Amino acid sequence: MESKLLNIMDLNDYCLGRILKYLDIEDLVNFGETCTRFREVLGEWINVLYPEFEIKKCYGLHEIEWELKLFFIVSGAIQRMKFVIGQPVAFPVNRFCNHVKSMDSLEYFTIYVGYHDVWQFGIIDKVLSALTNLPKLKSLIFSCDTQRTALFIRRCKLH
Amino acid sequence: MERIKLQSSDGEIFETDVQAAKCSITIKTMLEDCGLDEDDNAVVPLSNVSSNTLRNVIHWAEHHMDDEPSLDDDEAESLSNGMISSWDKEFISKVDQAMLFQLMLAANYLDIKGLLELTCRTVAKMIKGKTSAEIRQVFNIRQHPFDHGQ
Repeated sequence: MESKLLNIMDLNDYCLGRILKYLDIEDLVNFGETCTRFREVLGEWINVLYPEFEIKKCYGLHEIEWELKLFFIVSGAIQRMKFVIGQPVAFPVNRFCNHVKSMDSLEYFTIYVGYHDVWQFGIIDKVLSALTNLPKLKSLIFSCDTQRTALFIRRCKLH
Repeated sequence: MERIKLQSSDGEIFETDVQAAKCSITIKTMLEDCGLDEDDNAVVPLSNVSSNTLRNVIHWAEHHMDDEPSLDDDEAESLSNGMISSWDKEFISKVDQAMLFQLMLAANYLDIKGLLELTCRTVAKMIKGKTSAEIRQVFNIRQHPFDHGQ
């Protein structure tokens, strides 16, 4: 270690991970896109940084732009996730569901639907079917704001 | 004031205050476990820390030896309020990138929370606001970006 000039790649995963807690979500995305090693480190630390990874309801895609970018980088490492229904038309449903299908570390998934968003059963259905066959999934919580929502969803024959 | 000798990986011996050395939880535990506390001529070997690095670590520790000891991460975080003290700023501005990483690894090995936090924050500041291409440039990372880029 003495004669060699250290490069950031010589840091161990623990030290690299400790740096991440001082970064904003934009910086985490850029960090993860820097190189394979950084992407792996980001994956190892994502559950510490985000104990529950949330994609929230939004009116414009720009509101969840960075959450989505981060999700596409580390989806395979996320253990606990919450998805709130209520996305604009531009939401990349298929790309999102393709990532969900390969969430091999996912253990807990919550879908939340508010009454005003029950009409989005198309996306609910797609997300639910992407969740089948995930190896570590232990808990799937489907939650609604009112009983009315629950009734409506049942009528839509979602499984 | 009690003194202690520390030996770097390349054999250089440094003398410092016991209290400064105890900023390192690793050294503190070593001293207590081995009963070296009372032995004036004891030399603590630090096989993972080079003399250049150890000189900087001791310099930092001698300034910080009177700090409140063993705060946990969250406490230290809220106390420092995300700010780096002006002494620390000055200290870290004088080291080059390679030494910054040496110090980070040493702080990790020696278990010195304050120094680990300072070095991690400093690297984080170098990353903030940069694109992945810029990050590769700053840290001289010779790896091609992912194909899909963006």
